[in-house]
Amino acid sequence: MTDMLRPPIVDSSPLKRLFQGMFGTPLNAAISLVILGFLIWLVPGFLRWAIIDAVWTSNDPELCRAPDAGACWAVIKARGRLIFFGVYPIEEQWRAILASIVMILTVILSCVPWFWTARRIITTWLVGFTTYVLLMRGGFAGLDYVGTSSWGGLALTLFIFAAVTIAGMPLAILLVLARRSELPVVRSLAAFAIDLTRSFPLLTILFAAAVILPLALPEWLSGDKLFRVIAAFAFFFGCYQSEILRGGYQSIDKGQSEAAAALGLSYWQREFLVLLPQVFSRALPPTINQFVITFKETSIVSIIGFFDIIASTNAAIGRGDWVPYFVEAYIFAGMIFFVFVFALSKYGGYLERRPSVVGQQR
Amino acid sequence: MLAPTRPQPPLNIRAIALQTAILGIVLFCGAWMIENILSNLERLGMTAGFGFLERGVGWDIGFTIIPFSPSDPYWRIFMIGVINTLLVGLICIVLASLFGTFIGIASISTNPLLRLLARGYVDVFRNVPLVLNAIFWYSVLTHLPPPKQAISVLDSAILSNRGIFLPSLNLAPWAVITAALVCIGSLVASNILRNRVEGQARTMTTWLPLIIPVAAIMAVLLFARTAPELVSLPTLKGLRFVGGIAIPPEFAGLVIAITLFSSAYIAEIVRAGFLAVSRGTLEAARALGLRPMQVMRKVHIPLALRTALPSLGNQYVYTMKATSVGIAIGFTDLFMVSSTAINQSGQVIEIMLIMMCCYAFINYTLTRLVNLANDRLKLKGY
Repeated sequence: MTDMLRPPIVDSSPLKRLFQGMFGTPLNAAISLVILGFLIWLVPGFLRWAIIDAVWTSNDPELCRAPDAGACWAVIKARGRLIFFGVYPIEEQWRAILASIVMILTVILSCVPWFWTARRIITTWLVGFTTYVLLMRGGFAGLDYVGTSSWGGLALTLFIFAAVTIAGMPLAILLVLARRSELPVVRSLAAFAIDLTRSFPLLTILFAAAVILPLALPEWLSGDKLFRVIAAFAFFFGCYQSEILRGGYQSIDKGQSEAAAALGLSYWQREFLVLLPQVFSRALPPTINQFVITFKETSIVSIIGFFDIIASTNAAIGRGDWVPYFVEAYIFAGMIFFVFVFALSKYGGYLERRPSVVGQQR
Repeated sequence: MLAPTRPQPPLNIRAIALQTAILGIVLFCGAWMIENILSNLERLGMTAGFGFLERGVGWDIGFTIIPFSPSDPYWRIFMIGVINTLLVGLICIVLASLFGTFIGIASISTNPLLRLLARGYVDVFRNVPLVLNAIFWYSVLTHLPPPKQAISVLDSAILSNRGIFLPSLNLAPWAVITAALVCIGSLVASNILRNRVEGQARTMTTWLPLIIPVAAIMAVLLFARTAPELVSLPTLKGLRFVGGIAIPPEFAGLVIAITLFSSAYIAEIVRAGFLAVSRGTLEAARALGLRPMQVMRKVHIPLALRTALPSLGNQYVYTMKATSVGIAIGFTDLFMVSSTAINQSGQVIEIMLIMMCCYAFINYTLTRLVNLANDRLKLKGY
């Protein structure tokens, strides 16, 4: 009897556990062998293509045409400028580099809990965004003016992402307040707009903004195509984000609002001082997920004629001698997205696992 | 604006005035914009209304499974757009569900190597935009060798830059569809009837869903032939292929991209579903003497499916909407058809309205279906 009660012996040596997991049962052993075989077949060939036989630096595509040449990373060196900054004037390129760094820094800073108060986060984003626009646009203090039509590549993607989130977040708050309003007309209008928007693909909404809005608005209101598209994108973002915030509202005890009302706070004080701070900290993980999705979906603008990363990658290999090396160029563009999106989503995952976000408010 | 605890809110003049004003502003803006569009269109010399639907199209369409010629009326291209969107969407949903479930189960397997591979897959495909994926696979497919040097797989499928060619059956499509509907119908009917009838009839409900499909398949195989031999293999004739079915690179690229992208998300949903089944439940099943496979089949999968279903539904709707990136690689889905039609006919509002109604209808139906499944499968109190 005592034998049966003894706890099972667990060998905690990680290597042994790994081996146990891989070959512990016949099925696992078979699966492991198949995977190992696949990897042995794939990895050396891939490494030879991607690293050993690769052509790294050459402005001459002829070198890549050698029969035993592997990946042609030279295409990145030759055309990388286009992928990162589009057709931004080359002598002004330092401005695009600096502006992109500022924007990336803004995103990184807003991941630090110290910035998570309404005032700090709004200041950070407004300062970052304004710096970005001033640097890119120029036209003052001896900087040459560069119009938005010359913005492109990663720099444009960052711009669209930042503009959409900056305009979309207040919109989301407005929409969620409207949807939770006690006024039936406001409530049903907001619900109608949100649900309708959410049932369309983003592409159709951006397309409507680019093509149809100029017909519906007088010239002085319809503005630049880029800004129309950003406004529509921000509305789309606002609709999704407002549903996330609504989820956050639902997780907050009703007593919070009642206690605030009992203390004599007005509607706006209740919402902005008591409820919304709690909503945001509850809804932080899905909000970050929404940022991740938004960053990825900025790539949609390439379809309606903007020079974001995807479109400029297409242009980089579109003509001339680099056409056959589309795989390398697309892998590189994919890696740019991967770095941003993966880091952000891993950060979201870390926040989700952390025991409490609420305690970090101040 | 009101204190929420007041039991019987009296008629609030301020609230009513505010709402009337808001409604007025919204209606005014809407009317103003429509008025602007109408006057703009008039200036461009176009007439509003749906009369253009009967006009001839005058341009050709890339991919269609129903017959089409450029002289056909406009309403037909919207039909083709909807069919193409549904076709790609449904194929992707089915493929991504299968593949995603496989990846999801692999990512919680006891085998660390398999787990690593599954996690890697999910991380790569969730973090790269779908548009890039679509363009990449489309480029790969169009850079395949030309027909003369095409890659042949097992002498039946052919990969070339003109598309993928697969063997097909020489059967009339309408007969195959009818047979498929009969099979599904008999399965559904027997499932519904099984718990409602007794005795002899009950035995019938177990046998009929076997006999009817077999009979239907036999009938189709025997009587619906379109050519003497059953299997049609694609073969090179001159510079093109004849026989089999041709899958153009736009279609194949889009299906591959959306399937890979969506299955990464579905894998995560499935994984979460499996992990949500409490350990106690599984241990209880094991303690009752069920074998591991039985625990999986009778307890783990049914419970995981119930947890995963609402998220799966959302993902299906997303997949359906994702087909709109087809325009990036020239696949004639609903969006591409509509935007081409807008360019060609100039009937902006009408076409936008038709397109949006179609998308709303497709997504609404899909959501209803998933909710229906959810309601039927839901366990009380679990």
